[in-house]
Amino acid sequence: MNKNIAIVEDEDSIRENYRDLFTRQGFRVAVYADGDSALAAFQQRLPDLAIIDIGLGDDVEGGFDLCRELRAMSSQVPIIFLSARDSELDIVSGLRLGADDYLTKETSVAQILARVSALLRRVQALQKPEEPDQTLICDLLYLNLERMTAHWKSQQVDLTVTEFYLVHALVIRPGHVKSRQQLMDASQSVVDENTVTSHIKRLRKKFIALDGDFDAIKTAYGLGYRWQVDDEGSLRK
Amino acid sequence: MSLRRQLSIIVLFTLLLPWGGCQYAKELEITLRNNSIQNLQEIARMVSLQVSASMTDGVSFDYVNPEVSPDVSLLGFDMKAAANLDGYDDEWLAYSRQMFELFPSQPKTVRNQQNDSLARKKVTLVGGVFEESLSVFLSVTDNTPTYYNPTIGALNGDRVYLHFFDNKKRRHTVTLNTSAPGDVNVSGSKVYGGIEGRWQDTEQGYNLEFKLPMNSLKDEFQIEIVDATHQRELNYLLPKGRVVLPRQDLKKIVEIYSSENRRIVVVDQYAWLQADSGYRENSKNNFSESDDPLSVQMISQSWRSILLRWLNQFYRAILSDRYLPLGEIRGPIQGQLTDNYIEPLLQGKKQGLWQQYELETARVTAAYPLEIQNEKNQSIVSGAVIIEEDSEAILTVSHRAISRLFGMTFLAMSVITLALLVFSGILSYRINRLNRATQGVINAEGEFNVQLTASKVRDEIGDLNRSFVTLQSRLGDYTEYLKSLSGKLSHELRTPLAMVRTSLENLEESQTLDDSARVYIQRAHDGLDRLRYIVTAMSAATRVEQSISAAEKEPIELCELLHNLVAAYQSANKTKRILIQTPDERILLLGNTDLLAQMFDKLLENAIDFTADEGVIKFSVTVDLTSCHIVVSNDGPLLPVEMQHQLFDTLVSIRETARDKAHLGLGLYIVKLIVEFHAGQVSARNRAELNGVEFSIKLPVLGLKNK
Repeated sequence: MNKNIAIVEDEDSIRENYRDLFTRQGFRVAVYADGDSALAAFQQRLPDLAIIDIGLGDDVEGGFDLCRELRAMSSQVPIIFLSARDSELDIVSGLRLGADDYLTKETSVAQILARVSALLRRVQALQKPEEPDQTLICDLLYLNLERMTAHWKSQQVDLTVTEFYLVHALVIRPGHVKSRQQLMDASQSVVDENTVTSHIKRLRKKFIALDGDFDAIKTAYGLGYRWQVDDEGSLRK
Repeated sequence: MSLRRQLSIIVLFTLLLPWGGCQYAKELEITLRNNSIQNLQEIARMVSLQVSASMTDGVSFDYVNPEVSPDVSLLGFDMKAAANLDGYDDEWLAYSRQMFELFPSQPKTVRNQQNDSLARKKVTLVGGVFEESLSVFLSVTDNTPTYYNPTIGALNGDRVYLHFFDNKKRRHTVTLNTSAPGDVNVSGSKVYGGIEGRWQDTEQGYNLEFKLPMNSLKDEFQIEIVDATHQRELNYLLPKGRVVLPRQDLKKIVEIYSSENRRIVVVDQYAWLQADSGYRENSKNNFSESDDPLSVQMISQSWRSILLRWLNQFYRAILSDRYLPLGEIRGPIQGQLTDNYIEPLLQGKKQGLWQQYELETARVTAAYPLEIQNEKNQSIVSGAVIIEEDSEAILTVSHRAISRLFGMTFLAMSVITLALLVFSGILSYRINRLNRATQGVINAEGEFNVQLTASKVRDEIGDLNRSFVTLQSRLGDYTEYLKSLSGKLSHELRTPLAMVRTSLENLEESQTLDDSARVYIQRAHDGLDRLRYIVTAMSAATRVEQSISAAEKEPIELCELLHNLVAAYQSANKTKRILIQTPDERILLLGNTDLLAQMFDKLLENAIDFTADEGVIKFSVTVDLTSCHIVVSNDGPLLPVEMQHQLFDTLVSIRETARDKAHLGLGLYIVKLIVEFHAGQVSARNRAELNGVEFSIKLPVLGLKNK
């Protein structure tokens, strides 16, 4: 069954290009130039996935409003922000509004497609029973690769796709240092080294929000990051 | 010249104040004087008219007769009491004496020719009238005093002849001599009797004091002095003349107009005093004795009078004294007046004179000729009326004005000077403050350190200050715009880039392309990648700034961090020799580990790019009480001198050619941002040995701990 993808983008040529690209990949694509028409269409029928630009015409924050509305309509629909903006503030605001990922417009179509497939797969996987071989357990961290979900001490950690990829890259070989470049590759997103730093920072915050003592993501200064749970305490049990 | 000094010079112009005031005081004084002179002249005229009127009643100066020599008459002063005939001059000190220098007229014996100096004789003469007798005091120098020796028959010894000439020109002589100091022998004419006298020796010669009745004084008389020794006799003749007695009738007229402060004198045409009334009678010896009390008074007066005297002299010195003659100190009007005083009057001119004898005392003198009708009804100037008036009042007014002027001027000058100094002080303080503020506003890197505060003062300096503030805010806006330009530019470039990229990707996906077209597409992608890198780098600074603004500081240990980092650097860069040198202490500072690590990463990257293989990169740390210095030094090409300040600016790179990836000179800019976040300073310079470059970072230290 072809998935419905909604693209909200004010720039005509980019919008049409994305429509062509996604259509060629076998998606059914609906494009909207502004938030109002998009919202009207969403109220008729929810898309399977929405790609939203933040600045919509004159409304510089129109994408955020649309995201809020859509998330209010459904907590399930994956939302990806695709914006020229790359400031920390925009990223944090976007993710806080319930978006599943935040990509800049430098991201290539192949990478966007990967995210889209991953998110659609996750939605699908959530509706199916868990398959044990698709999970990765490291210490107190439990990763479901199919559903792209993470649990720390049995509590779900709400991760974006990019963040999930980063955690996965670190956890798959605990104790080994991953350089920023390696992490950039693993996240399948064009992010520079500074972005890796801020991603890691956000990740830590999410874990610490669940567990004040969380200290598993270590900085190897000058090298990168590694996943290591301290031997002390009862974490292994 | 500083503003303060310029204003101090301007203050000097206030010296014009006392100058102008002094001019005014002088004008005032001149007016007052002229008025008083005119008044006196008017009075003198009235007195003169009255006197001449009384003269025409038949009473006139007795000797209005050119045949009589007027020059050497004896003036009889009014005396308060009878003279004590004792040969001493006590009671005569108050009166001016006539002085004569005489030479022998008839040497009777010329046995020894005496030289002139020995023969010359000084004689002083003064007379006084009390009731009906005239007392005369005669003082004669005589270095050969010889008394009358009665054992010698003829008249001998020093003696004085009084020659009287009756109206028939007959001569009657009275001889006065003595054989010892004491009462004199009177001999000779019996017509002029009633004469008695006393002879007294003095160091210079002798005094003779004698008294004769008034009735013998109507006629001319002449005094002859004989200086006799045993060898010779020398005769000295005083000029023939008449005793001039004060005219009581005239005195009664002038008394009406005289007062304690005003003296009126009537003189005849030979300048002899004929009537005298006024203060002199009340305060005799006004001049001879006034010196002492006045000077005592001067000394006893406080510094104020000294200051006043000094100021007065000072002003008289610096100001032209054209209008303010200091009268030459003439003697009192007594006896016979000097020629220059009386001459103009006798020609019929009225005269006014201002005389200042002492600082606080001045005397106005006015004179008016006295005209008397003669037999032919012709007006002949036969004397003058002279009025003297003490005008302390005027002087006091002007002196008080001057002294008050000085006081007020001094006060005004002080106030003005103080005000101007304060004003100039405030002015230059404000200008200096503005100057310092504007100097400190922009540092060497062209960044704003502080925000100028707009002045609320509504004057030109305030305007200047506000202009600077406006200038700064506009400059600041522009600088901000320049800073944000790259970020904005990269943001704006992303959309067109995405348009190109998505179009290319669409093109790739379509099946119609042949191989040669794919080559071009690939090249387009390569260019796109490069563009994308540039755009990312352009916004990198903005992202670093954002992450810095979100960063938090915590106490960290520098050496441990640096050792860890260098260990990682060493393992990652095998081709360069990376060394580290740290002090033994543990250096605690307040900072953000991630940012510091990033800073060292950038410094290392930079060093690696400029260091040849096997080259040395050295991290060294030194520490003092308040700060630590981290020096990252590398062998490599030297920095161009002119670039050393700009090195830490964004988009500045000294790399000669682009290598594998585009360099936008952001690394060192990030270093600077992080250093500034830690309240430190960063600088780059060539090593002293000129064989490499070192980057020096100074960071404040929280504390030190021994390991």
